[in-house]
Amino acid sequence: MIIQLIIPLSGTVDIRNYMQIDLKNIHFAYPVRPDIPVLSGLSCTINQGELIGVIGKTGSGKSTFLQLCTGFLFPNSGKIRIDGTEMTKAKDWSTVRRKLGFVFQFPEKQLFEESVFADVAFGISKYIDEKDEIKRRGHAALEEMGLPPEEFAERSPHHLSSGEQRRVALAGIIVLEPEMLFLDEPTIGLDQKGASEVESIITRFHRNGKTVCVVSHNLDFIVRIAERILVIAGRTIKFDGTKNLLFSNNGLLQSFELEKPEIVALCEAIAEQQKINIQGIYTIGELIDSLTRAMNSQKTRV
Amino acid sequence: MIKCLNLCVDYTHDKNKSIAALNNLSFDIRDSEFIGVIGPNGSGKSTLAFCVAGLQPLTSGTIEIDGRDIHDLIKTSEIRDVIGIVFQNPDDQLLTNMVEHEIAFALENRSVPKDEMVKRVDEIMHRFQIADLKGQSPNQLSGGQKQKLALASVMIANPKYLILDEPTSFLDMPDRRMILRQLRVEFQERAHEGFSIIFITQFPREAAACSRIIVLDNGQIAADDTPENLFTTQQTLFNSIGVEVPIEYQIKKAVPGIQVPANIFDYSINNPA
Repeated sequence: MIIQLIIPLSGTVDIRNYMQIDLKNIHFAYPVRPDIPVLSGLSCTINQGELIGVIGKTGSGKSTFLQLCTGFLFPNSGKIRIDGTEMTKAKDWSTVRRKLGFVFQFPEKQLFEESVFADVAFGISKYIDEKDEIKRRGHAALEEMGLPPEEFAERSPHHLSSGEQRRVALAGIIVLEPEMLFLDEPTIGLDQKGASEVESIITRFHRNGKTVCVVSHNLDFIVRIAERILVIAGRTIKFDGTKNLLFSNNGLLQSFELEKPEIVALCEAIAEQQKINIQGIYTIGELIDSLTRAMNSQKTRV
Repeated sequence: MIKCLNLCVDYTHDKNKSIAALNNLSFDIRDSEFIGVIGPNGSGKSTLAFCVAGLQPLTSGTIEIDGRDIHDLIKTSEIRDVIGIVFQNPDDQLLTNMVEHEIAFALENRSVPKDEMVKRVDEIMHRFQIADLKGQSPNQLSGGQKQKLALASVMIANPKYLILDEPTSFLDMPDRRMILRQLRVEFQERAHEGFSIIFITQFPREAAACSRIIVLDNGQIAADDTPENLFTTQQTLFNSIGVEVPIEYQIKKAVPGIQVPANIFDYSINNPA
């Protein structure tokens, strides 16, 4: 087994939990349309501690890609290895299943228990028998999601706001203590408050040395959190690199029919108008700081 | 004109506990208006849409549409001729197995003669630039195309008022722009007949395309003004209720003296995208 050491930006990687997913030359078509492959000749490696943003047009195969990475779908051909071990059958996946957390689109639609705690405990109670341990971990997960258990544990999940429901669904995954978290459009349908709560949960999870792979068409969200970007287009990964590289290259973006994140478009427009250099800025706070500095130095010069 | 007076809607959840989705809310929708409605999740946006469309009974309050009580219009089913509604998820309202049948559905129900029906379906498919989808099943379309189809199927009945309940929240940027563009076309085409659009959206950026924005919070109107005034003067309100102010307005406020180029994100009705 070859272990490639990656130093995360922050946090620590526990070498015993090290995980790497390696996809080689993957072909996949849905059984209803076997003649039309969704993905073809796709290869990539996901390393421990990375936060990867997966983007691409609607229908490009982003969700399919996530489901292949996690063994919810099986490729028609090609190889998927986890830590060097080839995954061929469902049984291979069952041994790593617990380490791979998957958050579907609109995960709150899967909430079905009568209390928030029961829903969070549903998955983990399949693995753990001790009631106290389930309770301890369930409550810890709710706490982690910003849902204090004393307030939320006994409430019905169906009477919460959509942002709270989404976090309950996330708690049900986090409680399993996965090493890698895969999320499909985690902010869709949420307002700004709900979306930023989900965003900070994801970044916190990543800071603990865990791996995150997130699909979204909200590019402003992607550039805020991810460093490495995969663009899926034309049935395969057409770009695999840093966000700086992708979003400073207009030709590349156009060829993938991707729009610029608003923050990038705004930076460029201001930079041109004010004749100043602002690059590599992805949050509104950074832009305000940078512009304030630029304005002050202009004043000093005058 | 639609006059909403003291609208209250309570949803009963747990025993003995009801939640006010709309709380004594009053406002008017004038003829030829393109109104945006924004607010956080759970502020009552969809409830308001359903009330005005006659799909949600009021706990108290009155709605008057062009001088007639909404209950009269509901009783005679006339409300369906006056008001069209497009839901958040097009799968909730597409129900046939072919694109042109979907569009013809409203006309079939109104016993429109075959010749006229074919003509009008053709016409609207061209206006919506979906003529190439003829013969396809709505199920095979992308999210954006489905939403455009849902919009066409509603607009073919020529409603005087069009209500849209977050029609863009599941779409990506190019599709969101496409829907916005189509709404502009529809508004320009029919505003002289008094046609009004009530556009509910979770993206304040899109509401900036409207002539007037209503901000809802906790079932009440928190603000009602032009986009420019709202985004310039009400940033504290937006922050407190958790609704994002479009970033160029945030920058203008936080960095005094900064020149932000106009129209970089312009969705406005007059901007021909």
